[in-house]
Amino acid sequence: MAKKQLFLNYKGGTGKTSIAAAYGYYLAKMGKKVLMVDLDAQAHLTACLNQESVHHEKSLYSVIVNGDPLSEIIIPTQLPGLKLVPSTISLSALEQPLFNMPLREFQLRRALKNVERDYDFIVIDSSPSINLLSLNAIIASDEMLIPLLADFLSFHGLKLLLETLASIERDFQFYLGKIYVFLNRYNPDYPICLESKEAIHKFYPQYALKTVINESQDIINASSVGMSIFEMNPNSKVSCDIRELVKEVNGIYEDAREYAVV
Amino acid sequence: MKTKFETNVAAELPKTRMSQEPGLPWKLDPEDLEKVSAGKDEYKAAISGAFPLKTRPVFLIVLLAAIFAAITYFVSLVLTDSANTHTVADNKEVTMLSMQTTLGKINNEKNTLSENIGQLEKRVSELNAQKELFATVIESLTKKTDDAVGQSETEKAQSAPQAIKSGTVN
Repeated sequence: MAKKQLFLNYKGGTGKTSIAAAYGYYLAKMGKKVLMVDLDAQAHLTACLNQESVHHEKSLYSVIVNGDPLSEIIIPTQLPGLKLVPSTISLSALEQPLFNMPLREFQLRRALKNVERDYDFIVIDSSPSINLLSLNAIIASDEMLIPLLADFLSFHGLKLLLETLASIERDFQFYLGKIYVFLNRYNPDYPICLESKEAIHKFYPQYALKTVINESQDIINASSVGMSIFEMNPNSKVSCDIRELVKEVNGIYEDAREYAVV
Repeated sequence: MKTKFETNVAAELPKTRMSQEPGLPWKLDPEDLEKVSAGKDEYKAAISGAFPLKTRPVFLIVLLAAIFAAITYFVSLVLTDSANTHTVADNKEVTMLSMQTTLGKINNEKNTLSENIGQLEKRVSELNAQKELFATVIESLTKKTDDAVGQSETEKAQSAPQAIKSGTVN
C-alpha cells in the first residue's frame, strides 16, 4: 500500500513544488513506484515534470465530480517508475461542485484508494491556499512535509498551518501519521537562517528534521527547463540535500556507488 | 525580550498518530471508505435515477392540456370576434336602413316642397299677371280720366272767353 505524502504550506513561494518534484523523482530513480499528484491549478508540478504541453482531456475534476477512475488520468513521465496526475486549469473550478458533494473532504482519499495498491509512494503537491481541495489533500495523506523558508513570515505561516491541522484533528477525528518540517533555501551565512533553524528545533522538536535544503540556483534552473535536478546536476549540493531528505523521512538508503563518479 | 519567533508559536499542535498519547482514534477504516463510496453511489443514483411520481407522463399530460387550453382559447377568441363582427355588421345595416328610410322621407318632403314651390310660382305668376292686368287697367283708367279731365278743361277754357265776351263771367 502506498505511503501518501503531502507537501503543503499555506505560505506560497517556499519551494514546495520544486522540492516535491525532486523528491518524487529521486524516489522513482531509486526504483520505487511513485505517483505524483498535482493539486495546484497553476500546474507547476506538471511543468516541473515537463508535462504541461501534453493535452489533458480529463483531469482530477472529472475524477472527483463525475466519479471517473483515477487511473484514466494518470500519465507517464520520462522516468519509468514515475507517474503523474497532472493538473489543469479546471481544478480552479473544482471548489464549488466539491462544496455540494456529500463527504466532500474525503473525495480525494476515495479517488486515491483505487490506485494506492499500485504504488509505493504517492506524493501530493498542494496549492498554497486554505480551501476544500487542500483539506482533501490533508485528509488523503498519511504524512505531511512542510518546507519553510528561513524567515519570520514562513515561521508565522507554520503557526497557522499547525493550528489548522489541530482543528482538523478535532473536527474530523483525523490524524496524520507524521509531520515533518524542514528549512529550504538555507544559507548559514545569514543570521536569520540560524535563528529560524533554532526556533524550529526549539518550538517544534517533534516535527523538525535535521536536513535542510541549502540555497541553490540549480533547482530553480532545473525546474525552469522541465528537468529534474538529478538529471541536470546529480552531484550538486541541493541534490545531496534532497537525498538526505528522502533518507531521513523514509529511512531509505541508496547504493552510494551510484553517485560516486562526478 | 521575546523575539518574533517566540511570540508566534502555534497555540495548539496536531497530535498525529505517532504521538505517545494513548487512545487516539484513527477513523477512516476501510469500512468508512466503503461507506463513502456507497454514499456517493447512492447520491449519484438519487440525482441521476428515474424521478419519482412519473414526472415525464405528468409533464406530457400537463403539456397537452396546456396546448389544448391554448387552442380552445384562441378558437373562442376567433368565434367571439366573429360574433362581434356580425353584430357590428347587423347594427350597421340597421343604421343604414334607417338612414335610407330617412333619406326617402326627406326626398318625399323635397318632392312635396318642390310641388308646392311650383304651385306657388304659378300662383305668383298668375298674381303678377293679374297685377299687370290691373296695372294696365288702372293705367288705362287713369289715362281715360286724364283725358276726360283734359277735355273738360279744354271745354271750360273754350267756354270762358265766350262768357267774358258775353258778360256772364264776374
